[in-house]
Amino acid sequence: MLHPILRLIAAALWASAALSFRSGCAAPPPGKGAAEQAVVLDRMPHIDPDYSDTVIPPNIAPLNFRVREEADEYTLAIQSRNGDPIRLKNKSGSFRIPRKAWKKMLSGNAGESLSMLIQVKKNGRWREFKPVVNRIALEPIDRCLAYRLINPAFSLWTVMGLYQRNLENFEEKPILVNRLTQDNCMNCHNFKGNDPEFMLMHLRGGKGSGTLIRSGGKLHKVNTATDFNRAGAYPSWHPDGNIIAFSANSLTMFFHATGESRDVLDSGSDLVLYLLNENRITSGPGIADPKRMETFPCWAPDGRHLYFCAADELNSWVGMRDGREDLFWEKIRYDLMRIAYDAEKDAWGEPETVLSAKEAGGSITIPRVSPDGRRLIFTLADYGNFPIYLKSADLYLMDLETGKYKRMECNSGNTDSFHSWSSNSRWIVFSSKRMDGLCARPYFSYLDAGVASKPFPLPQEDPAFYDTFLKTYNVPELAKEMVPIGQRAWADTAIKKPALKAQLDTRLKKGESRSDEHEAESPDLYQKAKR
Amino acid sequence: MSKKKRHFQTQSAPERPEKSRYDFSSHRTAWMVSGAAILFLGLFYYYWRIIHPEYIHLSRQPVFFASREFLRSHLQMPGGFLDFMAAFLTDLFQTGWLGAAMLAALALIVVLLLYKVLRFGSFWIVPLLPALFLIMAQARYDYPVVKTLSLILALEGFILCRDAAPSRTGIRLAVILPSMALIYVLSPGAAILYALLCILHEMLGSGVQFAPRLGFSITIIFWSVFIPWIAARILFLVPAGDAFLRHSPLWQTDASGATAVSKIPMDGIAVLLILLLAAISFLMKDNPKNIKNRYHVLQAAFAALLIAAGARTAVDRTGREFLAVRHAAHHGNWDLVNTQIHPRIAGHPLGLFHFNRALYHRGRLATDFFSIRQNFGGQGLFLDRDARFQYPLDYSDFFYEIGHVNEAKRWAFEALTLYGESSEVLKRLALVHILQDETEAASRFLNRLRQNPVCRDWAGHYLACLSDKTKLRGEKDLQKIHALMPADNFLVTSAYPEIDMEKLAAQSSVNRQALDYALMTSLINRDLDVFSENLIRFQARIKMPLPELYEEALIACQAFAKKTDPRISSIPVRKSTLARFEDFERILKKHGGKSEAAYSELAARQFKTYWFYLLYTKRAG
Repeated sequence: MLHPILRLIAAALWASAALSFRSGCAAPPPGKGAAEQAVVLDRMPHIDPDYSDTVIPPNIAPLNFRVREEADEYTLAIQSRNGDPIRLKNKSGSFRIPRKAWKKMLSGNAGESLSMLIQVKKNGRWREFKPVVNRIALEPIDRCLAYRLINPAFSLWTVMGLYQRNLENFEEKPILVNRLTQDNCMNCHNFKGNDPEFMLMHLRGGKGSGTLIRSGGKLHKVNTATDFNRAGAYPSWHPDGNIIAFSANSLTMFFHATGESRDVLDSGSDLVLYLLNENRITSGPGIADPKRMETFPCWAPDGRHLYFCAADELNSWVGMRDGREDLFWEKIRYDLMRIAYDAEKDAWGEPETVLSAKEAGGSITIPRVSPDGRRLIFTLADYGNFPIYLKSADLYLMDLETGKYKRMECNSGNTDSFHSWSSNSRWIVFSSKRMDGLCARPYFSYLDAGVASKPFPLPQEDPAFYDTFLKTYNVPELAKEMVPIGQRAWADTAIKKPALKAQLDTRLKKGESRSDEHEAESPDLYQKAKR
Repeated sequence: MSKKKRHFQTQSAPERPEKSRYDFSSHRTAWMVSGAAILFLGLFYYYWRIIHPEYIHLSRQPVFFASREFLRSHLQMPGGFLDFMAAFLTDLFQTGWLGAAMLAALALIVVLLLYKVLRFGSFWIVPLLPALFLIMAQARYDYPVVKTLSLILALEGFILCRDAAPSRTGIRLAVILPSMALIYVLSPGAAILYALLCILHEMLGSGVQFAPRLGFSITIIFWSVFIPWIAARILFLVPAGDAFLRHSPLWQTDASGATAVSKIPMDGIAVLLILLLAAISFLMKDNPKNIKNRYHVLQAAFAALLIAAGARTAVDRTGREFLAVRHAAHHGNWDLVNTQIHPRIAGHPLGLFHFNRALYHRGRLATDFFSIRQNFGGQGLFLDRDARFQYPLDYSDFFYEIGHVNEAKRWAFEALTLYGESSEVLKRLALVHILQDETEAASRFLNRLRQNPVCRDWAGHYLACLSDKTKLRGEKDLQKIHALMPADNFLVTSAYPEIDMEKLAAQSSVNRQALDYALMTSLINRDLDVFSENLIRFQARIKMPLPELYEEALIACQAFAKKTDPRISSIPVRKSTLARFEDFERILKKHGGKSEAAYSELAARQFKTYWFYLLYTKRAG
């Protein structure tokens, strides 16, 4: 009676098993005769993803790829100065490089070049392409990449999660998925100086709402919203581990009729500091100026300066357009600022403009200082403070000693934004939409004397992974190690523990902040989907 | 001899009545096969022609891909494999007859399994009772097929264990506990039912002493709590509710993840009945003896009556009409939308929204717009905010056909979040990206769709178009939409879509729908200034004579709003329209200018006119 069902189940199991064995596997090298007769072509093969002419970390996972050349048979020989070459052969052109051999090759050849020789057989004849050559850097990249996986976001959210990927292999583990925390929105994951022992994330909506902070081996849930500000975003840890700078923003989404549909307007924002030991929110006139909108805080590694971005208050961008009063949203531009801070005395200096939007010719957002304190990367876009939706967004590198800055070599014609430094200041990861203009993917680039190498995307076990993966990698952050605590600990803290209400510095008063001014008329940027 | 054979033998062997060609007992197999065939055919017809599985598909928007990664993502949850199977089955529902065959087959399997679980011998109607509730549950448009699969799994698991497990309690436990863990992995809800059936059978149907039976039952209870606990904390990391009750008929999980123990639904009643009847059947020491043929006939008649009544009761008529309209609108069957419209449907913003779309596509928007009560004002044309987020794909359909492709994309993405990567959502996203010449993004959606067995060819066709632009130019539907698209950017006015309509109409001379929607919005908003301005602005686009409602509005401009703009008065109006207005004024005058007094007569003669709307309909919204 149940035979059809059992057969169906068996068929599905068989199909999934068959699928798992379809892709390329290690094979002996092609026969000598074939190699000898190969016609040598004067070009490199098309490979996908494009792992050519780049610099790779000595600890990166295998760069599995597909050869985009029509052929009946494919061979791949990977070699470097030391050790035996890795040889693979298959009929699909989809290569999954054996992990152990790859690891051995990379670790034994740091600083050397890595060559991938590809031959294809078509109509009985072998052809050999120019080798794809990459360089193996001496310096490794931090092994953990944390990010949020979401649908290309418009207004609704449902399923989402914060994940971590071990860059040395293909292991992806959830840090926390929202099905454990009553499906709330989660974002603003951040580490102190790439140290996963100090991490925070923000949850919004439902019982789990609050900022989860892991510090000194303890996990807290804090409500950073006060009479002065709403809950903080875009966090940055002070190197002493006791202070976290947040920005409190009132964001509104709006839409365009052509091109990228989404856009975001910040109608007011201020910076605040959360002092962990005192559970106190504080701020200062230099970072919460009623005449300015301050956002994207970033501590310098020595903790003496807070970098941030600021633009004039929203009303100053209102003017007459077509005979009517209108907001010139496309002209709102943010300057790069910094302000001195003495953590011991809790004393602020005067804010100073590091680079004005006028000089830079665009709006500056997301400043990130390198861990060695020598450089700063920011995003420059035509306007606004939400570069992920702006095609014009590019990464710029500033030398903090000279103040000189330049457009980075790793940019594309599409959105490049949300960057994070490796702890050794030699690698960056950033969100790029260059693949399809739709979903952000993490790309890695090596910095050598201020020159960024051609970036490469996050390697995946399945070379065709990006063909069908429709989620976007949101805010990639590098950490030295994988996050040491499991989902259950985060979830239990979020759901079972009440949020510790942050106390407002008595020097601050309700209504002084501009970040809440438009709250009533501007709903939260994203809302929970109800089916 | 198998247990099954033995079971049947004990029922039919003793006191067999005299044989005749009409003897039910002696032709048991033939009668069972015939009965099953009749039941299958009846259910098939019921689900196909009355319930329409394609509406279930529309309502549930299943997501299925034949890929290892998709299967793997499901295996991260207890019950994931059954979800995977259910997604596959539900995705086939878009072909109505196939979906009906599936539903009928599933119901039949449950019936047959119940016969094996509930041994009521000649009183064969008894096991049919719980099945009846399942048949009714499957008629619901929000019913997840996975619950039927879960029920089948539990029943089959119980039968296998009951028939195959050794008689010694300890060894029996050694068989049942691992099998329960396996069933749990496949479906937590099934594991609970399986455990309950095992306990009932042990406590009521076993001949051994009480103490071992009690120990057996306590062990199973402990096990059925322990497995979900381990699953929730260690193996799967899922919320406790899901770990214990996923797929359970008493546990509802909506798409946003909120869970609640619902009022007992039909399948819940089915399960409770199964447990009750199982207890009774286990308690019965002997199977019922054979009964006379006339009782079989009576049972058959009663069963047919019950099924017919149950099936009739289970039909959600409003839901069906509503989904029929949505389905027809999504597939552009505009005549069907018009014929399906019922006051109940038009009383819902989405129903009225589709009705108005159908009016436009049948060239009747500016003539018959007020033939139905436009209770929602402009929201009948554009949906209100809540309805937009509740039915984003429907709203995307509208923007797609009107060439506002970025908005079509936006709402398709909202649908992606709401429904997941369902085939209809992915199709829309692929098409809008093709239209915007975003080839790489389009290919992402098409590659994903190629993993769906039903949409593989569709996706393959458009992937071929992407690599060969001449093929793309041959896609007339796409070219038609492309001609409507705006070339210059403007900010979308979500709160007042009629402003976007004006801008769309201004940018594309062939975008008549945008123009009509802009004009009709000003009419329904009683904004005759905006109407007349736009009519003058776009006059060259509109063929003369003007549609009736536009003529009526022009007369209203002059008669009621006292507009003296010569550009308005120069627009020709048909004599028949003027005569209608004279009639309107005459009736009103006859009743002394009192609108209340003139209502009945005007309603009978002028209900569809704009003047009637202006006079009697309060501003909506």
